Amino acid sequence: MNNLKHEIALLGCWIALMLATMGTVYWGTHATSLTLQVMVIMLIAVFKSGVIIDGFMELWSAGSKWRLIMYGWPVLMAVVVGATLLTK
Amino acid sequence: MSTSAKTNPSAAGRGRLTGDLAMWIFILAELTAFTLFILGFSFTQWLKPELFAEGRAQLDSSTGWAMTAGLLTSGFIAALAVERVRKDHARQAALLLLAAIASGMVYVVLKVKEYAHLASIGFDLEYNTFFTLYWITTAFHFLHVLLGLVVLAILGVLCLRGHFGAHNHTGVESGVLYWHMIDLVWVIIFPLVYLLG
Repeated sequence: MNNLKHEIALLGCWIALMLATMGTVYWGTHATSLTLQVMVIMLIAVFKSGVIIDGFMELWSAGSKWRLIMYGWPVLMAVVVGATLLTK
Repeated sequence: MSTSAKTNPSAAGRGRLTGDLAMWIFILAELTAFTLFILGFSFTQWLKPELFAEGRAQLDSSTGWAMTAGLLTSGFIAALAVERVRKDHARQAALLLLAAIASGMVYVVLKVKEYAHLASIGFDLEYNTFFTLYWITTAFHFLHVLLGLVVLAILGVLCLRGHFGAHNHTGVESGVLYWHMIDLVWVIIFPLVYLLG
């Protein structure tokens, strides 16, 4: 039963990732300003990363240090990418 | 000697790592390498925003979406395969890994077509700074995808041979973790290269 619940959770992760990817493409092509585009798309990227890290890589069951390290990577990348696009 | 967590993480308490600790350290090393490419792309874009906007206009975001869908679907199916191994259904896992490879091939085929198209119209590695960084960054990721597909294929064969089961699933968990790392990196590279700016 636990395995079935986990497989349903994985399906939920996949649906969330597909919808988020559609959102990424939509905001990439329809955003009215660069600031809005960058902020929304980077937030979606961090959300998708979280779904992969906790859902697919199963870090929800790991210690907080590992989660901090793994969540830190997409957050750092999003901040750097966002900063380089919005500070000139 | 394995450095893995000992129990099924989906049934385990907190503090457990899926797969082998060595794979997690390898993943951190890989993320560090990808960081350099992403930083290089981002800071060069900061210096030459117009050039990057022009270059990005030559790319098809719908192709990028399809490649992303292929990779993420493959990651989902590979995660299901791990669950089947934990349930001691190794043959089902092998079929799922085959499906994961097929879905991953969507990315490979689309990427090869994109590379061929760009090369045919002259947007090669030396065309300008945007395309130099586009080719280097995406090709580095592409090579990881190819290696990941080989890993999934090996895992599938080992599942068929009865190598993995309910009490021996660390290997398949570790291999699939590598595949998820490739997804994770693409989640950042895709908007950076195809959409932003």
